[in-house]
Amino acid sequence: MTGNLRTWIPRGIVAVAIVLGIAIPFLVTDYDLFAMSRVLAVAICVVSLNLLMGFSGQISLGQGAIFGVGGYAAMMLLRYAEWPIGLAVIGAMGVSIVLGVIIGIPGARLGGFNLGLLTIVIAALFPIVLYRFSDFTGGQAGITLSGLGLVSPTDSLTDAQWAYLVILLVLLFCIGVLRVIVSGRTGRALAALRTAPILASSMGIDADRLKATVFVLSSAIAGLGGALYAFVLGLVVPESYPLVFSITILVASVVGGGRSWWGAIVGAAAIVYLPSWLSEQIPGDTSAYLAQLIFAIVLGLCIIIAPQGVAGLVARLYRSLWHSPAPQDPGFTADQPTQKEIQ
Amino acid sequence: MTEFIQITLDGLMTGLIYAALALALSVIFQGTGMLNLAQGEMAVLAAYISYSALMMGIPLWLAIPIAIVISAAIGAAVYFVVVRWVDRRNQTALTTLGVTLLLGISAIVSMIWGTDPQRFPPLFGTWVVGFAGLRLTSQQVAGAVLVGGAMLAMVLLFKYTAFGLRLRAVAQNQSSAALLGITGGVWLASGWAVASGVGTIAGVVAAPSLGLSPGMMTVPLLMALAATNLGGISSRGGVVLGGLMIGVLTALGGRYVPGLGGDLNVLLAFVVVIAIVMMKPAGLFGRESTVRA
Amino acid sequence: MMKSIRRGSLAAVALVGVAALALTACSPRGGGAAPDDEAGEDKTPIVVGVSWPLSGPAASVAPGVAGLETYIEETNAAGGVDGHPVELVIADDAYDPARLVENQRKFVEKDGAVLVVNFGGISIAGRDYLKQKNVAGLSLAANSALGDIENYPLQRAFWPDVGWEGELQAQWISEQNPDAVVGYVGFNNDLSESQLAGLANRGVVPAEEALVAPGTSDLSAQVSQFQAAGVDTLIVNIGAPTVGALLGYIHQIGWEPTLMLGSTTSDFAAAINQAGPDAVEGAYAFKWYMDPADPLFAEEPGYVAYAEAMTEQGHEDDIPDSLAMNGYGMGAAIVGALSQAESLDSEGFAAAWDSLSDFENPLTLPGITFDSGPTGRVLFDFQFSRFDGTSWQPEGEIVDVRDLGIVE
Repeated sequence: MTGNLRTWIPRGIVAVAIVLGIAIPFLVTDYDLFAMSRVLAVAICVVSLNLLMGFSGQISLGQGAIFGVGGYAAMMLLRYAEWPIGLAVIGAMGVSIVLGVIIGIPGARLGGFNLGLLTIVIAALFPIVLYRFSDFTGGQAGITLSGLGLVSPTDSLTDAQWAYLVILLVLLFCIGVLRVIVSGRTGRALAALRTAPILASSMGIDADRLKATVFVLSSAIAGLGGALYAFVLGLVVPESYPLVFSITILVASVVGGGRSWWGAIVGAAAIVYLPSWLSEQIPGDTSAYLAQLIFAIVLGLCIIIAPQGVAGLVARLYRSLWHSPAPQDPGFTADQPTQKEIQ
Repeated sequence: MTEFIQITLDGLMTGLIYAALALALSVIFQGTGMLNLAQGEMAVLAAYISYSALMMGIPLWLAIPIAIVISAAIGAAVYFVVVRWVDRRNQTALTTLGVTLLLGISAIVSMIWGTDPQRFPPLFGTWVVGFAGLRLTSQQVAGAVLVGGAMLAMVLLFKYTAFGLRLRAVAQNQSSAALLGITGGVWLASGWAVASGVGTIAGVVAAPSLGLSPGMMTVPLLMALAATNLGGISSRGGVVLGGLMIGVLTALGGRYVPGLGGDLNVLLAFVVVIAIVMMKPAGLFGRESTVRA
Repeated sequence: MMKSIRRGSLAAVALVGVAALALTACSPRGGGAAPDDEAGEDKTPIVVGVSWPLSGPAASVAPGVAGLETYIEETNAAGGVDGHPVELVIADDAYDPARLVENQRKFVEKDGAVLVVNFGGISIAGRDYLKQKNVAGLSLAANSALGDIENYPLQRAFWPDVGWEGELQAQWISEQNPDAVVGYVGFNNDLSESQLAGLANRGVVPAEEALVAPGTSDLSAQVSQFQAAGVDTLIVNIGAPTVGALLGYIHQIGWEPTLMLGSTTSDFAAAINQAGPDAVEGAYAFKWYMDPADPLFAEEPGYVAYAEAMTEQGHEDDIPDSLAMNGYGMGAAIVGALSQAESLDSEGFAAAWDSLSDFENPLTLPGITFDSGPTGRVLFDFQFSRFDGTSWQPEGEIVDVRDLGIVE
C-alpha cells in the first residue's frame, strides 16, 4: 500500500497543479495574467535549456538569443509576410531549427567550453546585429503589432485569458513530448552521454549526432517560446534580448532544477517576478541595486544549498520522508575527485 | 602601412587587458575547475578600490599594491564563503554561481560608488611617445609595464617558488596532492587570491582608458573568455597569447573588414577563434586531457 | 523511469507552493479593478506613473527621476495643481521593454494613472497599450519615432528631435567650411539614423562614420580611420563613457579637428569631467538647457531654485547631473500643462501640453521657453555655443527650427 501511495501522491499533486494552472485565468485579473503568460513563455525557453544542459550536458549561454530569433521571425512573418498566427509560430520554429543546426552541429564536435563561448558570443552580438539590419528588424523601434497578438476567438474568454491558456497548453505539450523522449531509449542514451561519455561512445552511441540533435530540438522549443512571448508582449525590440537575458535563463534553469520540467516554471517565475518584486519592496534611492544584490544572494544560496535546484531539493526532502536512497546519477561528469577527497 | 602597424600596436595594447583577465581566468580554472564569469566584475571592484585609495590621497605606487592585497583577500574570501561548497565537478552549478557573483558584485559596486562613469587618473600621466611614425599613449605604456610585470611575476611564482609549485600540484592532481599532505582548501583559496591580484592589474590598466564604471569589464571579459578558448584554458602562456591575438584581430577587423565597424569588430576575432578550435578543440596550447573511461 | 517521474512530479509541490505565493500577490477577478480616474470635483490626487531605468544598462539616467520627483514634491508642498496633489508612482524598468509594459499596465489598471512618463527609446514598446487605454504618455529622450502624434494622439515628447540638430549642424558646417571632410561618431541605433538624415537634408554626408554600441570606450581604430580619411570636422553625439574617452584620446594624440558635440552629450557630467576641460576647449554645440555643473549658470534663478529644491528633498548628490535638471524641467512642463488643463485627465493634459506657449521654466537657457509645436514637443530653440575651457559660452542668436523650415 505504501508503495502505491508513494507513487500516487506526486501524480495527484501534478494533476492538482495542472487543474490549478488551467483554473487561474478565471480567478485573477487580466493584468496578473499578463505577467503569468510571460512567465510561462519564458518557462518554455527554460525547458529547452533544461533539455540541452540537464539532459545532454551542453552548456549554452545563448538560449535567450534563439528565443529572440524566434520572436523576431514570428513577428516578421506576421507583419511583413502577413501569415496567420499559427503559421507564423511554426515558421519561427523553422528559423530557430535552422539556427540550431548552424550552431549545434559544429558545437557538438567542439565540446563544452567552445560551445559555451560560441553561444555567449551569439547572445552578445544578437542585439547589435538587430540594430545593424534595422531595415528588416525595425532597429530600435522593433516590430510592433497594432493590436494584440493572441486574440481570443470567443467572447467567453478575454484576450488575456486566451493567451495564457494557449501558452500554458503549449508548455504542457512540450513537457509531455520531452518526457516521453527522455524516458525512452534516447533518454538512456543521453544519461549515458552525461555520466560516462567514453563508455557511451564505446557502446555505439554517436555522441556528436545525439548532441547535435538535442541542440536542434532545444532550439526549436526556444524559438516556439520566443514567438509566443513576442505575441504576448505585442512587440519585439533589441533591448528585450540582451546578453544578460540569456544568462538569467541559465540561472533559472539551474535554480529550478536542471532536469526538472516543473522546476523550469519555478525558475522562470523567479527570474521574472523576483527583480520587480524586490525593487518594489525596498524603499530608497539605491533600492534597485539592493534588490539586485538580494536577488544574487538568493540565487547563490539556492545553488549552494541545492545544486540540483529547487526540484532536487524537494525530491530530497520527499525521499527522506520515505527513507529511500538517492539515485546514482549526480547529473554531471565525474572525472575529477571531489572536494572532500582533497581536504 | 604605418597605419596598419599603428592599429596592430593599438590592438596589442588593448589585448594586454584581455590577456591579464584571461590569465586570472586560467589560474582559477586550473585550481578550482570553475570558469569564473565574475572575474571581470572582481577586476572592476579592485579598480574602484584603487580609485578610492587615490581619491584619499594615497600615491599611485602605494594605492595599487593596497588594492591588490585587498582584492586578493576578497578573492580568497569568495572562495571560502561561496565557491567551496559547490562540487567542482558540477560545471553548470559553478558557471551559474559565477553569474550570481557577477550580479552581486556589480550591485555592490553600484551601491557604493554609483553607476556614473568616473575619471580614473592616468597611471603614468598623459603624454604620447612617438617613434618610427608610430605612437604610444602613456596609458598604453602603463599597460605594457604593469601587465608585463604581472605576467613576469606569475611566471616566477609558478616556476620558481615552492608556493607556486604547490599551487600547480593541487591544480593538476588533487588526489595525489592530498596524499602529500597538502590541504587543498587553503591552496585553492590561494589560487583565487593570486588570480584576483592579476585581475586587479587588469582593472587598474583598463580604468583610465575605458572609464571607471560598473560595466567597464563586460566586453573585456567576453574577450578574455575567447582568449581562453583560443589559447587553451589549461595553458597560462596560451591564454595570454590568446588575449593579445584577440586584441589585434579586433582592432584590425574593425578597421579593415568592411561592414564590421565599431560594434561588430569582434566578429573577426571570434571567427578566427572558432576556426582554430575547430581544428584544435583544446586551444592552441591547451592540453587534451586523457580520462579513464 | 519511475524515479524521474517521481522526482519531476515532486517539483510540482514546489510549483504549487510558488503558485500559492504568487496568487496571494494577485488580485481576484471582478473586484479591485482600476479605481475611478475622474479627478474632478473632490481634490483627488492626479496620478502620474513613471517607468524609468533605475538599474541595468541605462542606469546612468536614473537621476532624472530625482529631478522630476523634486519638482512634484515642491508643487505639492505649494498646494498641488489647483488643490489636487500630484501623486507620482515610480517603477524601475531597467530599460527592459517587458518591464516597461508591465509597469504601464500596473499604472493604468491598478493605479488609475492619467499620464505615464518614460525615459525614451524603449518607450515605443508601450505606445500601443497606452493608445488602447486612452492614457497620455510622455517621453523625455524621445527619438523621432515618438513624435508620431498622428497615429498616437495622446503621446507627447519632451527633448527636441536629434534630426533637427543634425540640420542645424549641417547648415553651420556648410557656411563655415563648405569643403569640410566630416566624420561622425554616434550610437549604433536610430538616434544616429535620425541625425545623419538631418545632416544629409542640409547636404552634409560624413566621409567616415563610427557607430558604436553604448559603453564602448576604445575608439583608437576609428580615430585612425578618421585621420587616414583626412577628416577635419568631427561630429560626436554619443554618451558617457564613450564621449569622454574619445575626446580625451583625441586630445592626447594631438589631433585637432573642429569638434561639434550634441546638445545632450556635451555636458560636464558626461563629457567634460571625463575628458578634461582642455580636451573639450574650442568645441561647438547647439545647446538649449542649462547644465547645472556649468559655472556660467550658478546665479541663474532657474538653477538656484533647482539646487535649493533638490537639497531640500535630499538629492544634493544629483545636483550637478544634467539628467536630474532635465527631470526637474520636465516636471515643470507637466505641472504647467496640468495647471492649464480644462479637465484633469489624459485628453485634458494633452490639449494643455499642446497649448503651452512661451512658458518660462527653470531648465532652459535664458531666452528659450517651452513652446508647443509639431510632433508633440515643446522645445524648438537652440543656442549655438562654444566651450572656452570653463563654460559653454553662447555665440550668436537663438535659432528656432520652425523658422528655418526644419520642422513644418
